Amino acid sequence: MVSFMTTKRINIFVRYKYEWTFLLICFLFYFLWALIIPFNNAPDEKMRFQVAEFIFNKGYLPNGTEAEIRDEIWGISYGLSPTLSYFISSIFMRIMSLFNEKAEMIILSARLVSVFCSTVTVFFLILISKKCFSGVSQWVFIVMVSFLPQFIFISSYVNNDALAIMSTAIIFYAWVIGIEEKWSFKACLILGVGISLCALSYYNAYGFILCSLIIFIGSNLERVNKKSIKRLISKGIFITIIVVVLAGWWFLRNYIIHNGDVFGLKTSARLSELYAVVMQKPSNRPTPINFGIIPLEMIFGQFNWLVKSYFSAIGNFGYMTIPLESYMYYIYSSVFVCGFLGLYVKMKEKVLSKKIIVSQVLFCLCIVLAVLIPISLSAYYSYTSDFQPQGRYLLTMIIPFCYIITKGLSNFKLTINEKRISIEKITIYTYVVLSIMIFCDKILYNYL
Amino acid sequence: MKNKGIAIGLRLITIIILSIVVSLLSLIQYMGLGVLGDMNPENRVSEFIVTNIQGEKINTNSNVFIQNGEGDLIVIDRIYPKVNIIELDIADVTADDLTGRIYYSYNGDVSELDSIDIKLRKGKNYVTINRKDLKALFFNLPIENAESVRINLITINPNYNIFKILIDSHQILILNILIFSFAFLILDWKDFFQSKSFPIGEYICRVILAFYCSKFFIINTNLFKGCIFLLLVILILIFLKKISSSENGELYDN
Repeated sequence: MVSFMTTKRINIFVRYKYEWTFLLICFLFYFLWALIIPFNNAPDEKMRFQVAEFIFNKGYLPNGTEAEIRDEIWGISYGLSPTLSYFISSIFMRIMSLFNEKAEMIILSARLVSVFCSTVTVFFLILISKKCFSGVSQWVFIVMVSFLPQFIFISSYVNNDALAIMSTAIIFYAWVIGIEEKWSFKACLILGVGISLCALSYYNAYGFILCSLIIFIGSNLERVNKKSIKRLISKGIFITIIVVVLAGWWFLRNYIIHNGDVFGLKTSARLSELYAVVMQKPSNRPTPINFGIIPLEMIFGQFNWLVKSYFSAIGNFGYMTIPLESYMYYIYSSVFVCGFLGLYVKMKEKVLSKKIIVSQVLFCLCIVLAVLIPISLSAYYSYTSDFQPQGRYLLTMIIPFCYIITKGLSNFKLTINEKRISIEKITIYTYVVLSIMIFCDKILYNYL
Repeated sequence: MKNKGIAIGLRLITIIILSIVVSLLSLIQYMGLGVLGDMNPENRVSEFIVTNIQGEKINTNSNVFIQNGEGDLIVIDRIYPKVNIIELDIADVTADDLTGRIYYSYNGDVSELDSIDIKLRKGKNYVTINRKDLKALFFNLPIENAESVRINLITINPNYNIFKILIDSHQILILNILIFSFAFLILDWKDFFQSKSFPIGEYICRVILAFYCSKFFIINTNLFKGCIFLLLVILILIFLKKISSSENGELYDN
């Protein structure tokens, strides 16, 4: 029995050796970025690290209003938003402190959470790709996400974004196997865990929770009868219990310590009004709404919100101070354009075939929603609260977006001199080679 | 048999020549000479940040004019690329043979400084510091008699021979030969001795990867990071080979 289990474990590693190799590549690459980028050369890393450091030093979670984790300019702290990522960081810091107490090693250990979260994301990307794609398209999907420069960047410093994207990967996988296996116990469990992690990560990712509701209810009620309703309720209760147990405690805690402010947003705004410098108090902030500018002008007009957010979602490092070369943005955009063109052809064929499967339609709808919701939330936040056209706020849409592009690319046919060119292979090579170029020319050049 | 031997020999020579070319290109680009090896001294300067002793930035451009300051101590932080020649261009000096001192540090720490005395004359003065891992430079220059001092940091002497630079950086060359040997020999062991055709697109990518690998090892001096990066590139090459060989190893679908 023991030797059979060992043989089976070895076979899994041997059979999927390239997948494991790719996971190792991703881990090493993200770890290298984390090693080289100096501390606080990433958005708000110092503020976020302060929360992890607080937990490391004191041994309990902050309530978010403590002076030692409050930023003197903005008047707020990251202790008011979900702190799961920082809590795990503090555990890594504690383990590291047993061996080495140097500041740079403690910081590196805190960053390892983002490195591991992104590696786990890649693991789920591999699982998703095996279900949804065939042949080289599997790798296009995986590489498009895992080697996107901004994704690599967020994998290398202390933040909540990596955890949020990991949760979206888990949820996406749950959707795929949920529809395939008609919401088996395993699918419900994975969905419950994914939603819990999402709830404890970043508010920008909450669109995935809404989409999960739509897919879960819609696919269970494909045929409305007593049996399907009973199945929906029982599985729904199961998922809800998982979410309440794993994530409910945070919101209950907020309800108690912040007088009913479950998400901590009102408390954060109040703190900012009290302690921020004059120009950064919410009532004084130079937001488009305060200037009477209409949303469309902010997004498409002189403020260039959409363009700045788009380019920084592809790659803009430091405090949005180290952009990529212009030609690189055009290369990535060309891939997206090819994907959309291929998708247009595929959709035309589907519509003409007039074959509609409800669960597939719901899945497609939720993928589109999962792309649009983070964009909308970021635009709303920039319009009303703090004008920040930063691509990292959109990154929670990266998996459904790349799913769409990959589907399109698999349909994109290009022929030159009667030879068919594999756009997919070119995409893989381009992403990998560009990421090494960006690493050497942008990260090493600026930080070593 | 003879033809096969010639073919193998030619391929081995190609690998060595490619290694030398890539090493040269990466060194040239690193030293700010431009890809084509523009030897114009104006193009040799490196970017750096200059602050005065109070830590205030003076200029972030490569040509810095420092106006008066008697014996101003100027801190140049984060020298990149690594400097071993300093060109001081002193304009409109009213006195000759000014004596100054240049302090340099390997770790940016002001408590651990080496120094050299320099005698400055009108026009360009070259000061050689034969170190490749400088982190900071501190100047103590009696420039009360000079209207301005322009400091250019360059990595090679204008009279330097580019091949001499390559020999001085022989570790880069050896590393490139190893990387190229892996990328074009070991990975394609069977094809190397048997196949006549090769996937151009994939090989171009391997050359680019090797070029940037070379750049990494010029910039980085940390062994741990170097080992991780080398392992990473090797794994990437293996992975890309698998991707390309999934359909006859070509980027064209058959």
